Amino acid sequence: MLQSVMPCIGRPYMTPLEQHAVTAARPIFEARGLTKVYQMGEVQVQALRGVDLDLYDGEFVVLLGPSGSGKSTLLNILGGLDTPTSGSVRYADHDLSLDDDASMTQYRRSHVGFVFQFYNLIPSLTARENVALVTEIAENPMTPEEALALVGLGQRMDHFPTQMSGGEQQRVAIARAVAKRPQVLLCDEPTGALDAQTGVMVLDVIAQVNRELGTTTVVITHNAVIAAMADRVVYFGDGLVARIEKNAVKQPATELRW
Amino acid sequence: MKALDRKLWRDLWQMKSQALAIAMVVMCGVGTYIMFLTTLGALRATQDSYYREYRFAEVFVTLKRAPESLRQRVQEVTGVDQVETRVVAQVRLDMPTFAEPVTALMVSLPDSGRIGLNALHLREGRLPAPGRPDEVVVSTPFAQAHALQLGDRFYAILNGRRQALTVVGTALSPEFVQQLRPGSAFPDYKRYGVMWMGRRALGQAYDMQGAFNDLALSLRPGADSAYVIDRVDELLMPYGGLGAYPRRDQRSHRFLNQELEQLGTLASLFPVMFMGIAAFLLNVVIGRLVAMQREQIATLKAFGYSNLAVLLHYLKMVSLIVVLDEAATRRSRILLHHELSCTFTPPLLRG
Repeated sequence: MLQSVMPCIGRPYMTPLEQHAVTAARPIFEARGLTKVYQMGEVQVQALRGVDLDLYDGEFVVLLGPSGSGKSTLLNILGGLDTPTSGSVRYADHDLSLDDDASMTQYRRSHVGFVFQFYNLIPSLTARENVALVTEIAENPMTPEEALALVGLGQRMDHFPTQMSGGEQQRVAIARAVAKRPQVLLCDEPTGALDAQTGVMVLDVIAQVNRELGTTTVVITHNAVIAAMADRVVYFGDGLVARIEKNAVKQPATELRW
Repeated sequence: MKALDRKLWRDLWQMKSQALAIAMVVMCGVGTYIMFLTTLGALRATQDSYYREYRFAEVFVTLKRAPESLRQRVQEVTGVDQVETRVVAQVRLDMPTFAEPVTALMVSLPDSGRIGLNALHLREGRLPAPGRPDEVVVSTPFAQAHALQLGDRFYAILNGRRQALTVVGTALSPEFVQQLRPGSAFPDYKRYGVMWMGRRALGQAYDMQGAFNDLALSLRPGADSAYVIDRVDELLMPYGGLGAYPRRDQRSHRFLNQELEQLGTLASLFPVMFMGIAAFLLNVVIGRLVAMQREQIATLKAFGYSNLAVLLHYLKMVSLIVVLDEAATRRSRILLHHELSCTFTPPLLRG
C-alpha cells in the first residue's frame, strides 16, 4: 500500500536531506530550482515552476500527475533531451544544465535509456535491428539477442514492428532502452497505449530490468495504480512536486489491476 | 551491415518509384544533352565535310570590273591556293506562278564545267551548256519554293533585257547553304534565290567578256588570311574592289554558324533545366521523407545519435539515389549516344 511520507500542505515535498535520510543512498540526480518556460508565440507556458528533486541509484520512481503538470518536461530534462530555463540538474557529479549539444548526445548515448508511450520503433527495422541501432553505438552493451531475451521476445527477433502487438512492440522498446546497460531508464507513459493486461506485462518487464540490472527507473503515468510498484511516488501538480511518498512494500506489477 | 544502413536501404526500396521518377528526369536531361551534342557534332562534321568536298572558298571579294588577266596576279599572292573569278549579278525574275517581285543572284559557272571552288552539288539535271544564255541551274530551295521542274521556263531581266530562262538543273552550293537577300535576316525562297548560268552567256549579258566582278579563293595550309586579304585588296582596289573578306564573314557561313552556336547553347540549357527539375524533385522527396521521419530522427537522437550522424544518414540516401540513378541510366545513355551517332553520321563520313 502507498504510504504518505510528507503532507503536501505547507511543506509540499521532502527536502533533499530528508530524501537522503529516507533512501540512505547517494542521489544519482539532483535537481534544484528547475524551471522551464516554453514560448508559444506570444504566450509563455510555465511547465516547471521550481522543482527540487533527488533520485537515487537503483530506485524505482513513479512520477504521477495530471496532463500538463510538468512530468514529461522534467523527464526530458533528466534525460538530456531538453534544458531548463533556470536551475540546475546534476547527474552524478556532472551538471547537465551546463552541457553543450555534443556532451548531451554523449550523455544520452552512454547513460540513459528511453521508453516512449508510442514505442517509437523504426518501422523498417526488425526487433533485433531496432535494438542493434542502440547497441552499435553503446560502449558496453548486451547483444540485441540478450536484450530481447530479457523482455521475453527471444522468438520474435526477426519480426518487424507491424508484425507485433502493441505490448510486444513496447517490450522491444524496453529491450532497446536497456540493451546499452544504462544507469537510468526513463519511461514516459509506457502503458499509455496498451490495454490493462498488456500494460501489466510491460510494467513487469520494467520492474524486472530495475531489479536485475539495478537501473534507476523513472516511470511517468497518470495511472495511480502503477504507483504501488514504485519505491517512491512523486506527485506532480502545476509544474511543481506536490508531494513524495515512499512505499514500504512494493507491489509486484503482476498484482496490479485497473 | 549497420542497422542504420539497413534502414537506409529499406527506406530506399520503399521509395523506389520516386527514385525511378527522378532517374527518368535525369535521363531526360542527360538524353537531351546527348541528343543536342550528337546533333551538333554531326552537323559540324557534315558542314566540314561538305565544305571540304565542295571546295568552299576561304576569301571572297566583290568588285566593279576587272580584266581576267588580274586573276594570275591574285594567284601569285603568297598563301593563295586556288582562284575562281566569276560574274555575279542581281537579277529581277518574272515567275509565272508568283505575282510579287522576285530577285535572284545569278552566278557564273566556268564553261569548261570544271568548277574549281564553291562546286555545285547537282540534285537534278545538268549544268548549263557552254554559251547557252537561256539555261540556268537554280538552287534547290528556290526550285522547291516555286515548284520548278526541269524544263520549266521563266523570265529574267538581265542588264535591262528580258530573257527567257530554262531550268536545266537544281543544285546546292556550300556558298549558299542559307540564301539570304542582302539586308534580310532570314531566308525567303519565294522572293529570293540563287541560280547559275554559263560564264560566257552571263558575261555577254553584263558586258563582262574577258572580265569578272567577283572573286573567290582558297588558301594554302598555314596561310595568313589577313595578309592575303590585304594583298588582294591592293590588287583589286583600282578595279572597284569592295574589300575582301574571310569565310567567317561570308553571309551563309555566318548564319549557319550562328544557328549551330544556338544549338550549342540549347545543348547546355536543356540539361540544366532537367537537372534543376531532378534536384527539385529530389529535394521534395527527401524533404517529405525527413518530415515523415521526424519521430524516427527524434528517437535516434534520444538514443545518442548526433546531429552529424543523422545528417550523414540522409545525405547517404540522397547520394545513393543519385548514384543508383546514374547506374540505372548509364547503359541507356550509351545506347542513345550510339544510336544517335549512327543516325546523324552523314554517308560521306561513314566511309
